[in-house]
Amino acid sequence: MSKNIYLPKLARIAGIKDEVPGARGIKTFFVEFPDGDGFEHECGQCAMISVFGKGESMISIASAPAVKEYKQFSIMRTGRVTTAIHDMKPGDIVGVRGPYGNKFPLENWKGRNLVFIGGGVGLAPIWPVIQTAVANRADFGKISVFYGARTSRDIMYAEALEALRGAADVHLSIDAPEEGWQGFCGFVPANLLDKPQSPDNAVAVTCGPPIMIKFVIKNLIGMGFADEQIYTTIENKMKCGVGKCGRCNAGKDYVCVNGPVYSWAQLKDMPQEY
Amino acid sequence: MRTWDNCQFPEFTMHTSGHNPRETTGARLRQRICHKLLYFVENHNIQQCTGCGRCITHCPVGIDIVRIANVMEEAAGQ
Ligand SMILES: Cc1cc2nc3c(=O)[nH]c(=O)nc-3n(C[C@H](O)[C@H](O)[C@H](O)COP(=O)(O)OP(=O)(O)OC[C@H]3O[C@@H](n4cnc5c(N)ncnc54)[C@H](O)[C@@H]3O)c2cc1C
Ligand code: FES
Repeated sequence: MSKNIYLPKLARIAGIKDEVPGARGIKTFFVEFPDGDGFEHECGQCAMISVFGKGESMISIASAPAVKEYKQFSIMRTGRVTTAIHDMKPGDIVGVRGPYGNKFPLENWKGRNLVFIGGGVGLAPIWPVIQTAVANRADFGKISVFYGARTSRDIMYAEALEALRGAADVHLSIDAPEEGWQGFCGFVPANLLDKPQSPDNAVAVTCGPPIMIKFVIKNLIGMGFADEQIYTTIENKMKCGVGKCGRCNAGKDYVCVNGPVYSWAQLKDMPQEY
Repeated sequence: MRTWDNCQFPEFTMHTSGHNPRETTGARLRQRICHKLLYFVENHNIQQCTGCGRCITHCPVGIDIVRIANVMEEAAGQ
């Protein structure tokens, strides 16, 4: 009998890190595959995480492909499945199937300047790219990381972002002023305008809420970035992950298979179903 | 776990944030028709509609896929 493509592998939660507190909090889960049936992945790919009796959610693989011991998932609590995952403890078992989707073409970006622009939990999908670029620092030009969250308490990967300084220019922002805050106050697209980036030999990668992505792309184009120099990821609702169920498609393009990574050159000609 | 679901329901494509890429009935009808007559043909070179007319008979609001197909054909010809 042929193998059931929807059958998840069993993975054990090896560790959990609290990133952001609150009703829509974020936790990072480090999972390993006790049966030794883990898989390789590329920057930008996702996996379906299941909680038995609750359901499945598509989540970006936030660890770099070079990390083989575990896979990292940073998950915001939003509904049934994500709440059930947030209630889990180290040692608990989740289902994982994947990896799904395409990848960021990092190998084509050698020698170029990289500008990353993330907002909220949207840092997770671009995190493996940032990690891989920094681990191979000599292969790239200048690396800049813009990241914004609503308040200082909502910043995910706070220590890891601080640790990037030196290897990368890190520009943090929060929406409204707070006492003791050293970074920018205002939305992410405004922070980007405040520190204009040169399009020369550069690639920009952005992920976050749709409205943020829209204005970030507008500002990048204003700075002279060409459509081919701008990349983003599309997070349409997904169920099957393999191009069958017809939830995630934008026109004839099935995001779970052909995406989630698109250049603006590709995206701008697609129907606006994202 | 199996639940009743359908591409004509708004929840089918609604993001966790509440944002919905196919928010209106019109957008969802467009998806249904284009999936059958356009996307599947472009991606797999197979027509998804046999023209049996069952959906026309049972449609509570009188949507006629044959008429739509003919209109599309005409528009494509122009
Ligand atoms: C490619 C991709 C990558 C992703 N990566 C990540 C990631 O790295 N980290 C992450 O945290 N998330 C990520 N997501 C999002 C994640 O998949 C969803 O947040 C998750 O599936 C939500 O599942 P849930 O069961 O917890 O929520 P659900 O229970 O399905 O509900 C989600 C929310 O929608 C509301 N809702 C449901 N139905 C309705 C309705 N009829 N009317 C109004 N509101 C309704 C609920 O109240 C809830 O707030 C990604 C998504 C995609 C497609
Ligand atoms: S998630 Fe089912 S087709 Fe993409």
